[in-house]
Amino acid sequence: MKRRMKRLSALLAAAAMTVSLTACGNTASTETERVEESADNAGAETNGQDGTAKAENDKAASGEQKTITIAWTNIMDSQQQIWEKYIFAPFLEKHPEVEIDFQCLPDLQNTVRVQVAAGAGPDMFYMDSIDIPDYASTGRILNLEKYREQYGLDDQMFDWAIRSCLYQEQMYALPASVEATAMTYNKDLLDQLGKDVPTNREEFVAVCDAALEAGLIPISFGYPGQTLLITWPYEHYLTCYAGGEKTAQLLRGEIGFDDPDIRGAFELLKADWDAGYVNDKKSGAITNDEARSLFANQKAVFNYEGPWLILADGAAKNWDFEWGQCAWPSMKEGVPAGSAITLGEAIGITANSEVADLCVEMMMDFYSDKERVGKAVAEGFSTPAVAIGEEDYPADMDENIRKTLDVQSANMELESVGYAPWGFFPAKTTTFLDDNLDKVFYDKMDMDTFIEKANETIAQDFEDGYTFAG
Amino acid sequence: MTQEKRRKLGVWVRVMIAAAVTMLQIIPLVVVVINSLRGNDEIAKIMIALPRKLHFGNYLTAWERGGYAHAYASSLIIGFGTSVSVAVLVGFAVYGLLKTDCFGKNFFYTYFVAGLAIPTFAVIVPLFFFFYKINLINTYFGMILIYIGTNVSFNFMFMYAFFEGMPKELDEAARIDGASELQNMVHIVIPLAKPIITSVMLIVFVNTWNEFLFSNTFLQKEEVRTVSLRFFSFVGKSGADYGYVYAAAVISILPIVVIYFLMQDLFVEGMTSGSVKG
Amino acid sequence: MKYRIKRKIKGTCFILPAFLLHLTVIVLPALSMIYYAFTKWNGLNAPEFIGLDNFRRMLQDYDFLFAMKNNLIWMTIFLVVPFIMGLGMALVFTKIGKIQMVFRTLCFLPYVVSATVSGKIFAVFYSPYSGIGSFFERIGVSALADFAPLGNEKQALYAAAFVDNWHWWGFVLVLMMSALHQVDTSLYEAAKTEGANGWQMLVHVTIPQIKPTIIAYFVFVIVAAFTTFDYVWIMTQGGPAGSTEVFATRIYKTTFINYDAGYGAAMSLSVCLLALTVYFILRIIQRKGAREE
Repeated sequence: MKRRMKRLSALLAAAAMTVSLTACGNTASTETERVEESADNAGAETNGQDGTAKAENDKAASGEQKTITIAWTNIMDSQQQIWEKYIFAPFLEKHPEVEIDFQCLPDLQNTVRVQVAAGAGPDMFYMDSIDIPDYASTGRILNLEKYREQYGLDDQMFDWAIRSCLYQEQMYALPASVEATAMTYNKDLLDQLGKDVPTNREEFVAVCDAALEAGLIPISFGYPGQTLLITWPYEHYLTCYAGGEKTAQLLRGEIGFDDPDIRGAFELLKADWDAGYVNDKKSGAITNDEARSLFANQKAVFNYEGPWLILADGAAKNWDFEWGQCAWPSMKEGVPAGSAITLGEAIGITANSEVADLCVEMMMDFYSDKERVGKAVAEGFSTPAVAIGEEDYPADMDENIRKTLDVQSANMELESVGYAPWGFFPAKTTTFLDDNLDKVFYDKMDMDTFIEKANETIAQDFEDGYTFAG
Repeated sequence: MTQEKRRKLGVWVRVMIAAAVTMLQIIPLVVVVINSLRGNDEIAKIMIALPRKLHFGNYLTAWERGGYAHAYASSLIIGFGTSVSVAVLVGFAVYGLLKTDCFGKNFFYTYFVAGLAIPTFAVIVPLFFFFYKINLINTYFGMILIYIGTNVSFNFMFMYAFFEGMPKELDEAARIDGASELQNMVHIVIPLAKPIITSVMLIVFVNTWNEFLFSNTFLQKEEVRTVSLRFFSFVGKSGADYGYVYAAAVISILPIVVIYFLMQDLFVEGMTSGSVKG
Repeated sequence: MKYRIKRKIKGTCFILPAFLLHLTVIVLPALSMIYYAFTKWNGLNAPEFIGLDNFRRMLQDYDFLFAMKNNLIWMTIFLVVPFIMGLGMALVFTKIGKIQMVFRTLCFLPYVVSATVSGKIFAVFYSPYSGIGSFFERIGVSALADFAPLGNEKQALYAAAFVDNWHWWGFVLVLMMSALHQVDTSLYEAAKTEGANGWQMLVHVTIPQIKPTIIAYFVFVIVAAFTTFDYVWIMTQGGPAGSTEVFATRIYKTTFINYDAGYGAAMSLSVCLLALTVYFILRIIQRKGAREE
């Protein structure tokens, strides 16, 4: 999610492309067909490669230079250094003939899509799991079944993470990182209000009301137009009011948004917005960075964000108060406090990449070397989709990071598992919910219309072939 | 009160109004400059205040982290290339339309002006496919071609209005003397049009320096990315380190502001030069 | 006759380079979107022809129609505010001697600052916690303490327009000053001897004299208002609650966030046609006016 957020803030700029369509539509489509064909043989050797790829391999044999182009989100320098130190450097030592071109782009998703459609994409690139169907159905990314077998991915990685990378039962992306959502709280402020960390609705409401009375913000949250971020709050309400099982039923098409529990989750969130719990209803006026700094400056008791806030973004470094993370409290009797799991980042490999083997080898070298993974995570790298044992982490690891990882692994073990929309929901539905929920907040759309349209949208998604990966 | 006194008072009132408006107008920029010298924590605490201590280090951090050395080079090359080309191409076009006999006067005029109605982002995707095919992605040349395209319409209108107001007698006299079109243009029209040409070049330079949409798509390689692009990625990476962000903002706009202050006579003269008339 | 054609060809050659380049880089790519407007396309698949479906959908698309309202508000704002500020201040500036240079230079300055930088700065100024609102709170003006226009669905559009105007009106000022300079001073003297007051001089001498500049300004604003994008996108991305959506933000989101590129092309095409239609209507009116005079 954190990545998706970056994508948005990137969009902030002023824009980019659009609307139209390709001057060479014909060529583009023929290319698509060609790639599709080869993608159909996926699993077979040649997969998406053609004559030139072969020639390229021969060249490699004769010691020719090869370049792996990687397009990633606009991550912080410290994160880039982790990539270089723990992923690129060991690999380059093993493969001196390889060069790596690591591009961190502010407008990643859009840029890559245009490039890939033109046949000019990077070799491997960041993707959100909800983008997989678009790329896979058009044969733009490589079918990875061959590698799944070769590297025994099913034994190495979390099965639900792999399921999130499937399209029509075939694997099309490598899971890069997993997250379990959490509530972040300021313990000092809770003490000051004379409250404990809430575990149920009643306690939660008591803290929020006390905070408002004391002139504090209950939950800091900002999204100036980046409606995507609204996923954070409604995920918590779905998980802790409707519950993971109900969410799963929704995504299997067994119930609709009009189910009382699902609808109730949105209604409760709307009620909390009206009560001013969500950043005094000022969320639309502040950026997410500012919401974070409100929390950092002890003006807010809670924050919606989970582990990524402390891991990849290193926010806790500047917090001079006692903080903690925990599962979001129960929002209804009978539904326990819970956390939603999600695939945070996935890696797609372009169908016509000539260095696909090397890409997978590089990533798998890293994922299977627990010591390297442990060190990288200890420095703030997002947790890969592999089980990491306590012994894999360096003993002197940063206290904040340790704390976060402990909560994250505890949350993943909880009985009540939710499904984060940005990892599990179908694309159109997520977009609809993100775009329209704030209209409900501002009373520009009533709940009935919202629920009705959400049902229409998810029906459309099912029609387009969406299947639930949970 | 004598008339003279009233007049003087009137001038003073006007000066005060002008000064007040000008103050309000530049306050935001003053705040940016001040904040670029404040610490990140100070800014987070209160937006508008004087620095307790001058953090010149903000600039160093922003310059290095933002990779501005490369960015400056890219922006300068693209900016100069585009502004010279636009001045020449549009200058020729306007000259052709107004001062020579040519085919389709109405058509060309309407065509250029109507170009304003095309939302530029409507062309990015097809253009990308096209440029990819002919290997113009990640090149200064490709970027310059695009910027010429996006700057033609506005500057056409601008130059056209200028030339339209230029006295016909001058070049007609030269033509009677038997000067060719080119001679006429070089010896008579260009000297008269110097201010507008400079003005167009400045406007175009500023536009390319500030542009984000196209460059973000067509310049993917770090080495060729421009100042605006760097600023953008820098903001994305800096989160709430506002001191750095403000310093980066100053670094990003400084060259433009300096050029503007140094050459503003020309800049403004270009726009006011209709007064040549008369 | 032959000589004339030759001369005409020569003259046309002056125009062709700019024309051909613009055609290749802007117009032809823009034309290709006409095809996509009739397809279902996500940017990656082979476009699937669906006839007029996209256009039918547009007519029922509340968000898109709502955007039109915002474009019209935007247009009205920019027809009025920068015009009055620009012309008004130009009248003030031209009568204060040399010092006008200093004011003019400074007022124009924001015009050279990029939308990204100014949008970012103003978003912070508008913040309820670290911007103008909190500043007023500190100095005890509680009525303004809640000033947070970007979070208010009724104010956000105007807040974004304010920034665009901040950037733009200095340019209008310079434009108007240059037009005023061209007015023949003897006209003022003549009016003065006839006993005209300041207002009468403005209405009967100044405005008619600078009419071409004013008309050019109006035409530009009207056409440009259909495609406005930068400031809205940078500051609000169309929010909150969709209250600042304009055509361009809708098109952008449709194409790049929802990846519904065929529908985006249809919207784009419609907006283009709308802007061109309005432009040609204005031209006809303008010409008619000129002829009548």
